[in-house]
Amino acid sequence: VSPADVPGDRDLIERARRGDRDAFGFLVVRHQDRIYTAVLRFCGDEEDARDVVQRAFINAWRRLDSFKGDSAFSTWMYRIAFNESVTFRREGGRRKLVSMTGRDDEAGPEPADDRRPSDRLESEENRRKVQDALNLVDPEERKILILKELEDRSYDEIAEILEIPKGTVRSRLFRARESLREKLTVLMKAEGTSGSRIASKGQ
Amino acid sequence: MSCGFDKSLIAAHYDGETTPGERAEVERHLAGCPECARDLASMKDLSAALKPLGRAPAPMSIAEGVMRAIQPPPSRRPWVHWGFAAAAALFLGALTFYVVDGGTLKSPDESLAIAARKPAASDLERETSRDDAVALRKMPAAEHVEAPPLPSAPAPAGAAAAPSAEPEAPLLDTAGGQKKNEENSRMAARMRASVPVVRVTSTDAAAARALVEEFLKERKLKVAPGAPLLGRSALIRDHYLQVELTEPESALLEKRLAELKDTSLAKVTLEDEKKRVAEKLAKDKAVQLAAPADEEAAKESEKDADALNEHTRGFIGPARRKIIFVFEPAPARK
Repeated sequence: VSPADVPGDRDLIERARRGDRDAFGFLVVRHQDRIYTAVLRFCGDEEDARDVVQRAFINAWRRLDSFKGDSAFSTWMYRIAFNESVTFRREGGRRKLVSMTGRDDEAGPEPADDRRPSDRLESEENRRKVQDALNLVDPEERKILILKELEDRSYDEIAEILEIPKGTVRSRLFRARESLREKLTVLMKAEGTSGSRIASKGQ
Repeated sequence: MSCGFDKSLIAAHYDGETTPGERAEVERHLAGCPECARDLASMKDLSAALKPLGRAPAPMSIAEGVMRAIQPPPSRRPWVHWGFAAAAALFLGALTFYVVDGGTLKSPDESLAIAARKPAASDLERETSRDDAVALRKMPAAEHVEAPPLPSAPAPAGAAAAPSAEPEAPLLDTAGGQKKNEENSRMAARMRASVPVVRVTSTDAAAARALVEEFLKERKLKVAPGAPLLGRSALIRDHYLQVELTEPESALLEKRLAELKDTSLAKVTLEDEKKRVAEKLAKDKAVQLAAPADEEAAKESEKDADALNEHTRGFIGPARRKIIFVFEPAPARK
């Protein structure tokens, strides 16, 4: 947690608690990218992610009083967002978590990609493959992979976000990496065959 | 596996989560164990493989949706916000509404006359909306009489002529009613004053209008959001567009409009435009439309302006404001 961030967030939270909606708006804008990324990678679908993140922030607004000042707002938000993802999923979500048709044409292109089109095409392919692999990993392991590998959170923060002991972070992360590596390998090997076959095998 | 070293410690080392003692231990081990060195390398590979899943910018619709959702319900009971003075004004607003809604009236003057004739609260309750009726019942009579004038309102001569302690009496007092009516419309006017009207005069007014509609469509903005501030007559429908834009958006739109052939733009106030509408309607012998348009707008704009204020205040980033575009045909240049 960068010390420079904390006063800003803390101040905004204080104001938001007193009913200042604009202050909360700033918090949303400040944190939405990282929360959205985490949720997007967790549920693998842009529309679902948008819904989940929106719900998560609305939820956070309603529960601002339960926010403990001793942790970072982002930590708290990750937790709410992951919980919301799971709830969303349980309620059926917009569509299935892993698109069993494999070819999820619904997923639009990644926004804000300023690379050359040829590179973009290749990385788009890559991205889909990696996301597919991630989708096959157990949800708890997926969370921890996202937090470490994509969000670069420390073990301490991860422990706090997932509400598990730090020792568990270490061991679970180890297993999660093994698992992802395995899924990736399978997916890479299956190149040329339809992704859907792989995906259903993993179920 | 075979080397027996704690693999999760290798991972912790990779993640920079080891204590200095552990780090030395891992480094010592790595130097002599190709298997664990391979593990470390494969961890780096895995991170590299995850690279394509970089940070994705959140769509702005998230923040917008959140801000919309956390707004208080739009001014269902404005008196909660405005306190009692406003409540009194609103009370008369409800009366005005009833009168207009009665449908038989031709002018505000007549409506006042009828308001004065209307005898019983039960009639009011039947005719006004349920919320208003509840407010009527809950409002103690004594407070009625002593309702202080709105801060900006000068004390009118007629105010002293509302002496009766009977619940319905103030309602029947024309002078008092008029006074409050004035206050009420003054309040509504204040709220509407900030809505600009852009008058677009063009040889091809239809094209100008199409441009605005296209502009809104591009941005998935609603055409004519909120209560129509200028009423609902056919004139309004055909020549006016009420929109909600941020300042940059409206600047861009105005620029595009100005680029149209033989088109000029002028900004006027909503009050001015209202007068023009009223004149036009009167000229078209549609007097009966003028009053409802006016009164209805006043009533609705109370709700609307409140909602608008909330909306504007609550929004992060550039807020959308109401703007009304008027399209007028200009004589074609010879």
